[in-house]
Amino acid sequence: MIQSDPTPLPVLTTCCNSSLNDVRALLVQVDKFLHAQGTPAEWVEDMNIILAEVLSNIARHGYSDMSGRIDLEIRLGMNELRCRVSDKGRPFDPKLIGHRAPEPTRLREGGYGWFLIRSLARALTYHRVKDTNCLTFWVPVGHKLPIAALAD
Amino acid sequence: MQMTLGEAGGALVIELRETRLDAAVAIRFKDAIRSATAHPGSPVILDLGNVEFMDSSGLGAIVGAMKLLGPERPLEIAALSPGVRKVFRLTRMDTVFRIHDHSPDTQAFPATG
Repeated sequence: MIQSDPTPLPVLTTCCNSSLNDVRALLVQVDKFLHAQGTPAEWVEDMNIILAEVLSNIARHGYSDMSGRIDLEIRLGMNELRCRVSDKGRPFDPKLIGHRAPEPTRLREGGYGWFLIRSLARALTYHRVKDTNCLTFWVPVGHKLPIAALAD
Repeated sequence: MQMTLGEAGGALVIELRETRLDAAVAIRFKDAIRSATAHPGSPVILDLGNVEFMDSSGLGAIVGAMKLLGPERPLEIAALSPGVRKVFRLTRMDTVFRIHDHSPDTQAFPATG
């Protein structure tokens, strides 16, 4: 669902249930939205990777044995994609995780997710307000977006 | 989990016929690799030419597949999209896999029996 905003910049406001299949459907929706806005492929890739890691972490660890809702907003700026993800799963502290990738030769099967998020996301912030986790970040876009809405 | 098996230069080629290798399918992927490689034998090339997106769960599943095959049976990967390559590069896992730029020239897997 694409909602109009007081500013002419496009916004995607959407949500999904915390199953991995629903998370996947949401990621496909985000990918289509960003491509439709003419976002250069490299930045779509970055957003896809970050969001896949954030959302699957919420699904597997934040909600783990329960099911819940994940809300997502992506706002296209002139030079960046701003993103906000919120959920009502368990609190977590991203400051403690993902500062280093596992050593490649140890052939670890996990532990890469938050490292990828940190590698690609800028200005990562986390707040817990009452029962809600809120994560915000942005992805820089190398040149101004050719946003169709701005041509009007 | 759709895969096509073939043969190229003495290696078993497993072409993944999926566009996403992610958390939703990582376990099924590993199970499918286990079945496809049940018989010991040749080196294995995993052709990811159809995969447009892979997350860290997909990467973990490929590492799991490599460990499953063991050191005597190397797992090589081929035809990475830019997004998939980025995940290998950022995690430096491109240093532990032999990566081919293109899909191998695969022959249909010979029928047995």
